[in-house]
Amino acid sequence: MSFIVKRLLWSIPTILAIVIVGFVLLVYTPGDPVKTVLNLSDQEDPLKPVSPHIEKQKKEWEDKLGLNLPIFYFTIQSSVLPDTLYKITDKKEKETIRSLCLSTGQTNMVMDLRRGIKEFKLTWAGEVKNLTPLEKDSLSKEMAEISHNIQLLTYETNKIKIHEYIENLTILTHSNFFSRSHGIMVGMEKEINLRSRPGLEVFAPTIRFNAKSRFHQWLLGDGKYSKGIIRGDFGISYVSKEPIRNHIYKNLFWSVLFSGLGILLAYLISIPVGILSAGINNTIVEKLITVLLFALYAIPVFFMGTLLQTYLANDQYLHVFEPTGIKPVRGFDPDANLIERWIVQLRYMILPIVCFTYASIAFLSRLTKTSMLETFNHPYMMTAKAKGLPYWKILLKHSFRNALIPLITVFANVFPVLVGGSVIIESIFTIPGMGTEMFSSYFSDNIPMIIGIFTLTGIFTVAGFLISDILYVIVDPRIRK
Amino acid sequence: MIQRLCIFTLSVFFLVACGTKKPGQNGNPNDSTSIKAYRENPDATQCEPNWSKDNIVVNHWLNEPPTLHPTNEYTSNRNFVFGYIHSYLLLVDLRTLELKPDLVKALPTISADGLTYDFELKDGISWDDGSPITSEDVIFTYKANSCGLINNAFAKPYIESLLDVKAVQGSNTKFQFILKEKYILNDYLSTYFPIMQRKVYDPTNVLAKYSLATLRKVEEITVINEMTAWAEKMNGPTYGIEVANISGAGPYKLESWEKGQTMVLVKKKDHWSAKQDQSMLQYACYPDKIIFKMVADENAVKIEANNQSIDVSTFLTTKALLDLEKNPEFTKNYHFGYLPAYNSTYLMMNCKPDGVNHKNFFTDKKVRQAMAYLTPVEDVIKVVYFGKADRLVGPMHPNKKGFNKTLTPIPLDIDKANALLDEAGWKDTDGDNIRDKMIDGKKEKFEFKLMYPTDSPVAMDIADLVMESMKKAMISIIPDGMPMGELVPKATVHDFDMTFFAFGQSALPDDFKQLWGTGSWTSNGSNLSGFGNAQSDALIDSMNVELDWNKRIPMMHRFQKMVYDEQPVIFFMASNRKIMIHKRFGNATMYYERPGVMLNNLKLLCSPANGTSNVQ
Repeated sequence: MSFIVKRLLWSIPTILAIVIVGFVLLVYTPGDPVKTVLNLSDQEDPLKPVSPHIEKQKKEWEDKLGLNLPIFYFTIQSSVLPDTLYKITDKKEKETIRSLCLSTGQTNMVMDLRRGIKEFKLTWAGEVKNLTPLEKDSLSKEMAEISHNIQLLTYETNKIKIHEYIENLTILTHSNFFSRSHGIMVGMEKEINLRSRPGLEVFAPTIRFNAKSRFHQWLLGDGKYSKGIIRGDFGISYVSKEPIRNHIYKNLFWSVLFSGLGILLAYLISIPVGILSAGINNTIVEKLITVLLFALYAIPVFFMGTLLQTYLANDQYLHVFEPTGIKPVRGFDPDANLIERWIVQLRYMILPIVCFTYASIAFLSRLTKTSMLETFNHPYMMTAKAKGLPYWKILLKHSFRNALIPLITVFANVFPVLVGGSVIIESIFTIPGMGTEMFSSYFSDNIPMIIGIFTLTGIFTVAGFLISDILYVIVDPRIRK
Repeated sequence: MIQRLCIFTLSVFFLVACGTKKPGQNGNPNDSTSIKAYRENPDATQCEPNWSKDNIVVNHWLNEPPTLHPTNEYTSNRNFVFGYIHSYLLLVDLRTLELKPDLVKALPTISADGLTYDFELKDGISWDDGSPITSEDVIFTYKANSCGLINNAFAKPYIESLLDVKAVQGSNTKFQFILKEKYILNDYLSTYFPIMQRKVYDPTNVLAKYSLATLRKVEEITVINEMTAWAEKMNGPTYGIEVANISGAGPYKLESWEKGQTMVLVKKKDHWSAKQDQSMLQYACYPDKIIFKMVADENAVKIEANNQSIDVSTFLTTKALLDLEKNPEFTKNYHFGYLPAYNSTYLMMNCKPDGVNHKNFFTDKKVRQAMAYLTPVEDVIKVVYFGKADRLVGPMHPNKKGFNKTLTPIPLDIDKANALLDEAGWKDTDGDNIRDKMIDGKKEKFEFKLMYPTDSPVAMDIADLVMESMKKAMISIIPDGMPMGELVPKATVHDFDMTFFAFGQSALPDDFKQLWGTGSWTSNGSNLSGFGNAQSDALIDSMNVELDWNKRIPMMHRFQKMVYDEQPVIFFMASNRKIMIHKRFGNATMYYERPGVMLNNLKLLCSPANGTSNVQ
């Protein structure tokens, strides 16, 4: 018991590490969560002011997702970086400010530059709006260049280029139509004087402790929008706005069912095959079994899935199984009982389960066989033979028990597969499992879902290793010591 | 303005399009430009013994909409379902693409200044609980969609043109739209937003207390607790995911939704639509159930078709349908076709380059015309699209009202291209087999980058064919493949020489402003090529406020000719929509516009009772 408790305690820091890695991925994954949630295009016109209601909605979601909070409980950063840098949710903007502050050490001037750019954009957009079509036509070349230069200036971090773009914009706006914009640029040209090298203040760190942080909100919840992953709340799906846990629970069942049955079958088949192969090692039958298993192992799963569908679930050839789905599209016969329904459902389940199973059989049976052959040279095997025990009894009782350790080690890896499912098999057979959920989340930038599955997979992996450790002790009590 | 700039993108989301005026008022229904946008298939003369007798249509789709939220869901797949479970004020007749009234008695009466639209709801239309659909529901719908707290940012620009929606005093069936400006697409407001039952979505009638203008002022309504509480519930998953809470005034209701598997719609009993004019496609409902079945894998779809386990698909690839056609069993069981669809693929030329990063290759009209003569469009359609695409000749789809039929496709003619390039001053003066020209005192080679998306399975093939052809005229192309996510931002800031670009469209009347207006170029919109001048802008502006088709069509013809002559882009093609419908159903009409098939119109030909044929 103390062994299990010890192992359980050890798993806590591992799980915490997984949670931290998940959080880091969530924070640093490219993309703008707010834009994804609000269905806003990534291709927003940088010169077009965002309408106030969208701005407000953005703020609300930043609050909900904790994007306007510092990342961790404490912040250590250079003293030249603004205190409120974390509040800037536009990642590109944040990076530009960080880079400029660190390379110049002129925090105030950098912030003046940002304000100037923002003001220029607003002013210029207003001036463009007031132009007549004829004026627009005559100024089209200048406008294109202004647009080009301001976009380059917005995220530029090279001091020489920044001054170059400001100078360009001052010249390009030198027309009566853009007088206000020109004024802003003239002002910037005078005031912005970025140093080429920072002073020593860049190296002076500031440490700040934050009572509220994104990590805290993610881990423990904020009492308003989330309960925290410690209570099984992985956040809200950016796509459906539903809690992630709802999606996970729905999909987990099918992944666990299919991959669980597949893995169970793989063990049930491969262990006897492995024992048999060890027993009849170097015979023609054993060699035939090995060739067959390796041939199966070499077939890619997408090819096997398509092959099975085409030849066993197709009216053109043999229609014994169903090609897609998990149950009849028109529903079950209302008079059918549970067993009859399961029998019908089996027609949908067998092919995917075969796909989950076949590749593992070769690997596991080979592992069983090799492990057993290794035990053959041990003294206890000699003793058993000397005692005159029957060959198959020696194999099963003495050799197999001692050959179990590698199989248990492999068994630990089963758990993440159970949770993660298989993207390929689930897509081919249209199974609503974790694999397809992961796949669609990837394409819809549903990052919390991906991180949720990642975290859960990690936790299950730890659970798998814990179970393996316990099984080791059961199989070989010496391991406890 | 925002509305106009975005309308092109929006067209992808439309269930139905709009734009024509009330017959006899502003347009002429018998005008020769009326189009036919469908293909009929003859009903089967006998039922095969292995045909299912279920009066259930199983429709295949590649992926499902994430939610069925009436205000916040924006994916185009929502429309495949909304068309059956919701009702709108107006609809488009998919046969002619003309506007037809849905919940209202007739098309709106439009005031002389084009800013007030008067509607009257039909008699006898009701919600599932038996209560009548009133102007209160309509007002709620438009207020909810305008409300700044609702997460439908994608739809906001399109409803911004609506200043107010108000009931006519003393009537609960008459109401008015007050619009900001006269515009050809104002009608769209009546076709895009499904009408929601106020009692269901706002039981305490919170929104009625505030005007539409106030609801747009986020700062003001954010501090009102009842408003934020309402918005929180409205934005949540309740109305988008939970089957019991997804309802509308349409003839079908959502019965079940198993994510990633099936969505089942069941026909409502005694629905008001049964007493309406059955020539309206939306009202002639035959199947007891409509099942949307998700199958993402192409091979699996073919097998499902062989097994006859799906009745309809509008999501087939060309290759899949070509493969299926080879199976005689398939042709015996299914109607199928390759139909025109509203999309377009262009090769954009940068007509207003900065001259530094991108040289002035395409500023000369003659060079652009030469490029068109050098592009093997027919070969591309034949080789890459297996001949299943329609050639485009100008900025309009050939199957849209107002298309200028005098414009002819530019043929592949290398001699003519060579002559045009010579005239433009591009000649091979140094014998290196690449044309060159002195520009600003500097010799420039005719060598440019062709951007193409690497995530498109066909773009590389097309690029190869184009490069090969251009080489014959001594023009060197450097292929520049990149993911779509990189290509689009580069193209929108005009950082390219020549690029592929494809647009999804609809049968909506074209507002040329977004693709061809100079404003759309200066603001980094969809006018990627830089086409346009004061004259073209003025013509676009005139077309956009001209509600009379008879006056508008000549303007449209003039505009198309203008673009055709300038050739700012090489007009490629519109790929076809691939459709299959099981022959066990009659009325198997296929439409050019989404959704391609009206599932509710499919009439079972074989009697479900005894399996005998109903076919006469």
